[in-house]
Amino acid sequence: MIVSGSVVTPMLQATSIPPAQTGQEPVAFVPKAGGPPDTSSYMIAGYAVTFALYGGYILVMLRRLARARRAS
Amino acid sequence: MTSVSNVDTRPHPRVAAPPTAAGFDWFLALALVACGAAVVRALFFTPADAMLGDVQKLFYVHVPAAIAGLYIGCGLLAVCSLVYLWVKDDRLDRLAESSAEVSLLCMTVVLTTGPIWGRSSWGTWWVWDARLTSTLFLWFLVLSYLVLRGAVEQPETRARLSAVMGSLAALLVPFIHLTVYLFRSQHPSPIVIRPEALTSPSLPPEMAATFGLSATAFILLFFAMLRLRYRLATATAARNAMEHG
Repeated sequence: MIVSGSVVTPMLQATSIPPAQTGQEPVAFVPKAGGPPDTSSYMIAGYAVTFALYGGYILVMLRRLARARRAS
Repeated sequence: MTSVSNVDTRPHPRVAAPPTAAGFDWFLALALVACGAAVVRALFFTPADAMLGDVQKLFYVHVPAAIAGLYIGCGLLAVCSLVYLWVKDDRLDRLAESSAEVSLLCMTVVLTTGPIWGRSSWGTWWVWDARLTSTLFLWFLVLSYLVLRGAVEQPETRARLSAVMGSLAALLVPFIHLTVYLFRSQHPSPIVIRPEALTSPSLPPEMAATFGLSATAFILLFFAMLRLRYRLATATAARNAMEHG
């Protein structure tokens, strides 16, 4: 489902969880009562894909380079 | 008067040197250590986003991959292709081929981590938004460039045709950068590569430091992979030169 534009939070406006707030800071967003949503599974999936792609490519390149050296 | 019009006065294309003995690649090792440090800092020592949660940490691999793949990789592809058409140096052809392949890899990272982030924050894996669609289009163009190289056997024809295609494909990069300004886009506007970023930073200091480390590390990794791929291209060219006399 595509959520409406107002629900989308651009990274431009993203902010970290402040350690302590006095209520006086000019922050754009404050954490929800329950804290941020648990999206760690998406984060892990993204990093796993990145490792697999970069790591796989480097291994393939090293193998092909070793084979090219043996052939010459 | 003697005519010299039939004499080829162009400089002879550089012949690939035979591959040297294998050794430990310190540059690749340094890049991998830097990437490891950046990932550890991003995952364990950088605060989570207040609204998006942990998925925002994909920013530290998604954006560096976009910078390396689109801006640096496709920029190199365009420059090498254009200069090749002028000076006909085989080393430029090999560098263009190498940068196209590593760029394709980085764009694959961009096009997989982006939808994962989008599924969490937009509720959908993909939207036919101008930024996403044009990036996918560039991915297909660079893939076509590499397929074209594989389809033409004659080296000089292959280099000339692919140089034309490589320089034209890279024209899409400035358009991709501007899509978020030209169209109504769900993709966030540029956070780092924008004119006012120095005077009014939009990232908190902890995130900005992590991003700086991450961008440096993954750009180093890009050049390490490019170097590896260029060495392979040189070794392949030397072998082909020996086989064909």
